[in-house]
Amino acid sequence: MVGGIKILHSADWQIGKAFRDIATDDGDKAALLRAQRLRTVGRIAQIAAEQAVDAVLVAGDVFDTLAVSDETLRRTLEALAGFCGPWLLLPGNHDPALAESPWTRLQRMGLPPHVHLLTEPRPVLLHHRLAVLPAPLCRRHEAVDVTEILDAMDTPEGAVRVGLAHGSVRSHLPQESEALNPIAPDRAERARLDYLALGDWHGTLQIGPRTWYAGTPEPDRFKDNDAGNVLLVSIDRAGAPPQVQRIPVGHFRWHQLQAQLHCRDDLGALEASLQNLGQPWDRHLLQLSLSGSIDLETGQALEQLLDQWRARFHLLRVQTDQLLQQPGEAELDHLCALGFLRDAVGELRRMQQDPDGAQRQEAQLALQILYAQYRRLQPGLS
Amino acid sequence: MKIRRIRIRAFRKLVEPVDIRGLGDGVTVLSGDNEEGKSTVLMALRTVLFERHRMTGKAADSLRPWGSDVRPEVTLEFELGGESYAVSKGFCQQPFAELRTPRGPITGPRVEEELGRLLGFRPPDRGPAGPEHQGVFGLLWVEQGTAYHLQVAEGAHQTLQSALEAEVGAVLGGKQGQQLLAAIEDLYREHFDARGHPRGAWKKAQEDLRRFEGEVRRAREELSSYDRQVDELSRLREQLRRMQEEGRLEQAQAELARARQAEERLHALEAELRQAEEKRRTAMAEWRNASDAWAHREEQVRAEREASEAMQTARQRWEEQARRAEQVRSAVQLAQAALDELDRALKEAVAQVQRGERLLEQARAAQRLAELRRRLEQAQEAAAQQQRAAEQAQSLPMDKACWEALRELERQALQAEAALVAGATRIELRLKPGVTVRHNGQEVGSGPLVLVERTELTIDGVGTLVIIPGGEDLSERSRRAQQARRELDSALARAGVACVADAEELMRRREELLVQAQQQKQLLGRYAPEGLEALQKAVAEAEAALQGSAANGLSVEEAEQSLREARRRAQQAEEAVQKGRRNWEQQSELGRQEAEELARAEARRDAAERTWQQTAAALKEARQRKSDDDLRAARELTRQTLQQAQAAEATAREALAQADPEGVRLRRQGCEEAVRQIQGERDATARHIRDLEIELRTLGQRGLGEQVQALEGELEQARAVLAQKERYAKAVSLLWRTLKAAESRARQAFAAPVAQRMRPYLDILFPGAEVSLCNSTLSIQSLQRGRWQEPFQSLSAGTREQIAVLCRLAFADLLREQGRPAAVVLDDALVYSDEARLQRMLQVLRRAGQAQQVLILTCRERDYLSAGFPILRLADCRG
Repeated sequence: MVGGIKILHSADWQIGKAFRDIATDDGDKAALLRAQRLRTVGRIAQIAAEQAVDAVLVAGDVFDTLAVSDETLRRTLEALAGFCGPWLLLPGNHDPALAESPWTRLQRMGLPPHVHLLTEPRPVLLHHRLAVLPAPLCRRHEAVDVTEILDAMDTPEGAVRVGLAHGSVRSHLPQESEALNPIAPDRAERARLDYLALGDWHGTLQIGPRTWYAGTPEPDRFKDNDAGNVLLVSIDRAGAPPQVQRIPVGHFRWHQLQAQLHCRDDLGALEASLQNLGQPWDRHLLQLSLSGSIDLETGQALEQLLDQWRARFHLLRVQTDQLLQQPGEAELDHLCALGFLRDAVGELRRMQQDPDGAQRQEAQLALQILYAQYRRLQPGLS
Repeated sequence: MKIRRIRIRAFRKLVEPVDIRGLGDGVTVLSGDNEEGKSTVLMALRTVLFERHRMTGKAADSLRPWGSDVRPEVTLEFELGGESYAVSKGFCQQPFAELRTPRGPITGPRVEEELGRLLGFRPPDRGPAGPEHQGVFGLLWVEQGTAYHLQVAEGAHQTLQSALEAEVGAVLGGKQGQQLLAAIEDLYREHFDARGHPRGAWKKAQEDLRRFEGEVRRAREELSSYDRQVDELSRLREQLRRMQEEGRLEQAQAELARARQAEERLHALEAELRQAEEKRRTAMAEWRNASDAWAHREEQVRAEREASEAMQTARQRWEEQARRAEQVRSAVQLAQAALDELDRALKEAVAQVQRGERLLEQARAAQRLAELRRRLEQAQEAAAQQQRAAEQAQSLPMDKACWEALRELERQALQAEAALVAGATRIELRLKPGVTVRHNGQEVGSGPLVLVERTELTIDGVGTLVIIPGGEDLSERSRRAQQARRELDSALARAGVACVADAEELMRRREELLVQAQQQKQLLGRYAPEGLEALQKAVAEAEAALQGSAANGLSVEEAEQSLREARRRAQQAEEAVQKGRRNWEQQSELGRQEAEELARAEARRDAAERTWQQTAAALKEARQRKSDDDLRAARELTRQTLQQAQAAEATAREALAQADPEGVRLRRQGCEEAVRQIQGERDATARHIRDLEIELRTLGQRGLGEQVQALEGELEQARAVLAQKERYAKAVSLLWRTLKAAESRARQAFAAPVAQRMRPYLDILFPGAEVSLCNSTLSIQSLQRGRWQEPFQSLSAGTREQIAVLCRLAFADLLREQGRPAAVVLDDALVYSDEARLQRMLQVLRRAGQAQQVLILTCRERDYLSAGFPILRLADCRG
């Protein structure tokens, strides 16, 4: 019995990812991000069940590392329980099918029958009409195109051929993508595939009429690359063009924002930008880069503003390397009224304003500390 | 501030009221004699301004005149900022305080508060006011003799500091500036220890980072090891798969089976060879048995023949020995006869010797008798002489004791006479020729005369000279001398001698006779030691002994000669006997040996006969069991059988050698080794794979990858924390260093205004000199004159008090210029100054007085006369 198929294409779950850079700011927040990835898998299962897809295909990097804990493996299986149709999981460069890997360990744990680990390049026929042709990575890095094997794979007449692979489509990805594990851009055509479901690139990206990167369902970096989706792919029959629909599933939103500050009014504009990210606030992770030049009092107001938004967002990371904070005239008047301080402040300002000075940052911070201490001793000042 | 009028009543020394008025703007001198109360005026000034009027206790009581309970009262009128004020205070009982100001009077405790505000001091909360409660006046109002102490107390310091800050622009930042500095220092100490090393949270962040680095390193190593093991597992599985595919084990096993078949064939050949060897060994044993049997027979035949021959030889030897034994026995008998003859000759010779000995003994007895007789005669002679000498000695009565008694009497007589002569009168007559002197009629010539009694000397033609010797005991001495002479003469008469010398002669004669008797007695003892009678008895006995023997008439020598001859002959006979005995013994020994040899020859003969009988019997018995021919035939038969078995064995051995047993075994062993190796390798690989799988499963459960990532996250966090702490600490350090440097520079500028105001005064006192002030305490540190910088404390008391006054004047100028109250009061402040310096100081004061009120209290009014200052006398102010 041959007919149309509907599959859910996902990839790069990277379960177990530790979010080291986030841990730099706050270990608890990193733990929440880590836990969210499993919840998002649960959300995918829910969508798969709602859409009644024929299968869920995960194009590699299910796990972030070969050496994930047993607990992580069990939680992953648990997250799959929401969809009782076939799950086809492909090893990627993060979790290659080595002699000992999450795959061998899952096998030993005992898999539910609807979960298929595609650790060998052998077609899997589902429902007699969907042939999934996997090209698993059996090493972390392959210098050759492992999808070449798909060209020679035979499938039953009339079955929809869906390739499943993990790697970089040469010349179709930005330069920073890995040059290893190459995949020919015309693999879909060469292997007579109705659809080639790819993983590795973390944003959702179409490479060709039949070739897509699903991207990671839960964004994991400050990069605007359309992450956080799964692809619902419908193919009416073998040879028919695939209908691909993005379904957002990501929980957290990762943003980058730049702002220039020169006076107190600029803080209002900055706050408006933050407001624009929209509610709910606690889903946002923002990397804010500030530049410009403000006086110490504005700096204190900025700190208050940022503290307020830090409490709202899941994470607010602020880069102030390019933001110059120096005493304003009024501040200077206050400080310099105190005798020798005029001399000291003058010297610190000279250091701070010296473009080649090795102590620019230190001098700026020193001024801020001085001013903060001054204000602490002057509770009457506002 | 300018002091205008001071009224004092019942205050300490000033019992009577004092009213000092007419105090001008410049310098005013208030003079008074010692003990008059100048210093009390200064104390009253301090008291009315700084002490609380309600103070009690000893401090309050001390304000009263001694022994009085009147209330002390002080009133001070002064100008401040062009306005007039008057403060009055009464102390102890019913204390009061009143301050009249341009804005109205104030009374009670508020007076002190208002004064403090006006004049810039802080009155004490309780108790008497110390220097710190007097503001700058504690510094500017100098008590007697303390000018050279320039201690800037807290109250004065604050006033001066605020004045200086007004001057130099609040360089020290005031209280706020110092608080800020202290706060930054606290921050600095929070981050740096005394040696400038990190401490507190910063240090902990460093330690955290190191700890995380270590943990991450360890976790990464574990993960890396895990990855390597995974790779190793892949490799081993591939290796095992290849082994199985190549079928090396099966090939080796087939080869081993073939090698084992070849070895079994080899075993068959070896069995055949062993069988042939066994047969050959059996044949060899049989042949050896047959050969041995024949050899044994031949041996028996030979033994029988040899026994027969030996028996014949023994018989012949026995017969020869019997003959030789007989001959020897005859020779022994001859030797025995000769020996007997010689024994008889020896006995005869011995008898001769005995006879000779007896003759010699008789000759010696006759000789001994003659000797005894001679000694008897000599002894008898000696006895006779002894007796004679003894008798003569007895006839002489003078023995030694008697003689010694006589000699003693003689000595006493002589001694008595000598004593008489010693006491006598001696006269010496020296007569002229022709003069005759008579004594008792006797003529005496020239020479001495000893007179012991009344003497009359008649000098012819002249007359008679009567001499009566004096002395008390001369008559006694004379009597003793006569007595002693009489006793001597009597004793000599009793002894029968004329004088002591005769007595000695008699005594010596008697002694000689006694010696003679003794000598004869000794001679007798030698001749007859046992007495004369014993000797006579011995002679009689010798005579009796010789009586019976036949007097042969031989002399002793002749008898000895005869004996020597007899003994020589006996010696010769003895030697002949010994020689004959040796000969007999030799022959006897030979005879005994020959007899023994004969017995042995007989025994050998008997043994040889028995041996022959036994061997002959054994041979006969053996031949009866098996004949010699039978034995020979059996030997030949077994030899042939042995040759056949040896040939068969050689054939089997050759067949085995052809099969190459060494090669076959080596091949089999090689195959076994190969199988073992391949099997071992496969098993080891499989085992290794199993071990790795177990290890990896265990490690996998731990989630090393997640651990590493988590730890790396923590490491990153620690790194960020450290960077932030470090950034902050460095900024604090920079801030602290910058502030300290700025403050230090500010302090350096701080004392400059004081120095500037001292300058004109100093030029008057020490032209060209420089005074160095401490920036923080404003105390004087040193004076630089020319190239010499002298510490203030090492300057003379005079110089110190002068510079200290200059410094105070400079302080007052500074304060006054800023509109602050500043009057200077000096109570005998220049007591140590010499005349020259004093003149310069007067010039200084005159200059200061142009702008500044200076009140000088002194008991040396004349010092100030020349300066032209107005002078008030304390005595004039009373009443």
